[in-house]
Amino acid sequence: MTGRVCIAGDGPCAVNTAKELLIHGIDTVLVSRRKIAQSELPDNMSREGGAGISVYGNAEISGCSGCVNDFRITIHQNGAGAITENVTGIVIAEEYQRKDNFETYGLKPSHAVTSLSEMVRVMENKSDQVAFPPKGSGILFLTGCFQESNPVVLYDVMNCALQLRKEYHQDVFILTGNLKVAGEGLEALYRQTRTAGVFYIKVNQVLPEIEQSDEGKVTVSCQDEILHTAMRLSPDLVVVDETLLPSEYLMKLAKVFELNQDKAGFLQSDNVHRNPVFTNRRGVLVVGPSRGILERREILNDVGNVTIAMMNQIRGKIDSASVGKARIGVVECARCLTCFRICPYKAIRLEDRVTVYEDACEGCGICIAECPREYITWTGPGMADELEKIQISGIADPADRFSPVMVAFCCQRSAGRSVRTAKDRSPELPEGLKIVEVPCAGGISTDHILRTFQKGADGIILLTCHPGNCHSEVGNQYAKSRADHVGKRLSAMGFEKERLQVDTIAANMDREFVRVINSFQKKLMEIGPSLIRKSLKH
Amino acid sequence: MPDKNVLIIGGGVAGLTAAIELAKLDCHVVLIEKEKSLGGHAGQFTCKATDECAKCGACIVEEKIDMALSHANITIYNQARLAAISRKDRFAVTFFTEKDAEQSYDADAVIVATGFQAFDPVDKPFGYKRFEDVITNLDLEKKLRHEIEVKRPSDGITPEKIAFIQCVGSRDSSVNHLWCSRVCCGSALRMANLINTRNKNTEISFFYIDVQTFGKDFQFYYDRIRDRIRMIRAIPGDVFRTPDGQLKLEYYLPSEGKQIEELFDMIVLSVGIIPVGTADGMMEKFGLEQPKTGFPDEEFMRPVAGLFAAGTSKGPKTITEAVADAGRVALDVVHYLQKQ
Repeated sequence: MTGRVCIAGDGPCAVNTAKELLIHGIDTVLVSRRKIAQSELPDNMSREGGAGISVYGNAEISGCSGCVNDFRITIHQNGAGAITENVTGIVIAEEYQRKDNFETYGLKPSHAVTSLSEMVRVMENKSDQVAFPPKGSGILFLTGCFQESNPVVLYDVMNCALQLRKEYHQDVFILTGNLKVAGEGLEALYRQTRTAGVFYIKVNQVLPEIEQSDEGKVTVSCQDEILHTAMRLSPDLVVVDETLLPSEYLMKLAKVFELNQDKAGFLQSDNVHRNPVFTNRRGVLVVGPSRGILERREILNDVGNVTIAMMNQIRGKIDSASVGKARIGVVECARCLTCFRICPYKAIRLEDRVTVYEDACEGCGICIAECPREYITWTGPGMADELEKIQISGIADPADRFSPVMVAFCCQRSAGRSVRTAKDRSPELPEGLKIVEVPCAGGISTDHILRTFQKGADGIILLTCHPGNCHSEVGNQYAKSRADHVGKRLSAMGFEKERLQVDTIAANMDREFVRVINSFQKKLMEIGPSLIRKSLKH
Repeated sequence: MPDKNVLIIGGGVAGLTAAIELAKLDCHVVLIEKEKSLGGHAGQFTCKATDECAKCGACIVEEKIDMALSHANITIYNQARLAAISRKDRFAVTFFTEKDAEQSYDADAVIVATGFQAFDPVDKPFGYKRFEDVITNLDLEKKLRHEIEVKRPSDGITPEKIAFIQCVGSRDSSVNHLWCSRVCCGSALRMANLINTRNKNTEISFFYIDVQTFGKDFQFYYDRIRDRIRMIRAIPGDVFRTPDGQLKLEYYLPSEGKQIEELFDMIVLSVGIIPVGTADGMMEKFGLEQPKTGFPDEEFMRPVAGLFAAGTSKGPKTITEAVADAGRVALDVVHYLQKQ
């Protein structure tokens, strides 16, 4: 372990991350696609007893092998070819790509149509000759009319509008859909712009009609929803808002590091377990504009969280739900690569033989359950040991009221937590209920299910996280499809497939847990005891 | 950071997160919580998943509680309240525990994670506290956590028409709340979607000023629910109760350009997030006056070295944002302690 962290990025987010890590004694390798000027970097790049910050300018990351604590990354630098660096962790801190929305509004850039970034630049560099028209028909901002915007863009819009009004005495109009004031201080800024005389037109149901003449001049017809009045504007200048997107390079980094993405393409799946800065891979963290559309304050928060996470990682303190890890049988493995393909954490190494990166394994057990030859085992106490503990006895007197034995396999991150609260609050859970907590429902194999029935369980219920909430991303899907498959086989054998049920429960829904269990019990009471249980001795 | 003590005031999601992060870095943490149970407001929220997770983050609170309770470096006092605090080189803290026993503690740093207060809509013309079937979004969170189908409080009937009224006590100059509470559009629309998914016959109207973006896939989510929820860009006027127990709402319908009267079975008010005040007068003890917006920020806390604020005590935040903020504050605390 080198204790060094690689940071991918060429903007303030990457530089701030490097600075913060340096303060806390962590060396970094900053890989920037452009040459970063000395003035952008911290004055002091070194630290006592360490290498401090080293920078690769005009460079791209093109490859990554290894795993957390021992990544080997390939850097392509202009003129220097490929370089390999060994690093302990990786932080992706690329900036947004700002795409103008000219097309969305059916406009072309012209002397009368410009982008928000351009306007921000003009306002920032006051030295630029700003050739605003003499007070005429005003400046119109178009924002969030045909697609939803966000507070980051609105901040720029309102900030520019305020300056144009106060310093350049322009008539300023903002034509907007939903005004995204949910950012820090934005409602106050909105009030300020209104007091200064910025005029807002709100549309939503009836969208504005926008026309551009051959000379580039724009006319907008719209209906203000609040005032219920029709308007026609022919502004001297139209400022068009922008969409914040992941850059093409960021998309490439997703492939290099094998990271899950959200719908927009940012390098973090939309999964609450990844918050704030985690990805599906241990040791690869993602900050601010690389993980979503965040305000400045939130980006600073991310930088702090990355620093804490790296400090913990270097000290060997990583949270893990599971004590066990997967281990692949050396002799037996037939190299079918099922495990390599499905591991949600990319913790399977494919070299001369297939092995598990122990540091990267989260112990979900999906590979163990999926291995067609059952050649993967647990290093720690596994689920099979948990199952061994379950004792099921036969039925004493058939005349007695039937009390079904139910085995609930609970993902310890969701249902497992709800059980604990349920036990505290509703001690009246059915006596025949047996709980098996598992690291991930995706680790419950066909074998586990069949063996549990064999032991005499009247019913088995798999309680998983909701889709989109699984720490292993797809563990719940594996649980569901495996149960469907087993159900079909059970039916074929003449065993009631209704004895096997899959449900989703969140960690905070203890009452729902009780409800689900009670209704499962009711169903089993109707079906009656399982054939196997009937044959068991009391 | 061994041998360093940190006091955290408040056991909501921010206080818990800060405690866990500091404990992992070997600080000793004492966390005092005024309520019986941990988790704060968010600890009472419902899961809003329908056929998939709605990404509200409510389930994360349970994880934080588990982790904080099981960490050896964290000592938690429930139903505790701060008695006195002063600062020389360190903070001398006295607080009362559940059994009214007085406890002293020397802290190197203090984190105020006292969360928020919900705006009390009783003075608004929406009939809160006068009509049983007018509830707040926080009431609805608790209700949904325990009931599958929402029942009308007055008679236990399944409501056919529910109105959500947004921005009650937020973005409101009449009460000098010049901020958006940031989380209510997300919470209300997710709950509306949940109710409508569970019972297709329940029609939901959503009265709003501007729908705020929430979640990573907002456009996608919004497009999907917009067809099923009546989105009305207006904030209604008075609420009356009809003789047969329904609620009459008056509002100006912009698309028609006229005043409408409509009957609903239940009304949900999305109440604003407002500051709790000065944490039992603690800030005054340090000579800090009420901050301008009521929410203390870093600038405000700066005069007192070693005093920090985390989570919604600093302003409206979602659950996941509060977690991220508390992580950042934990690092700031560590940085401060290192310099000591």
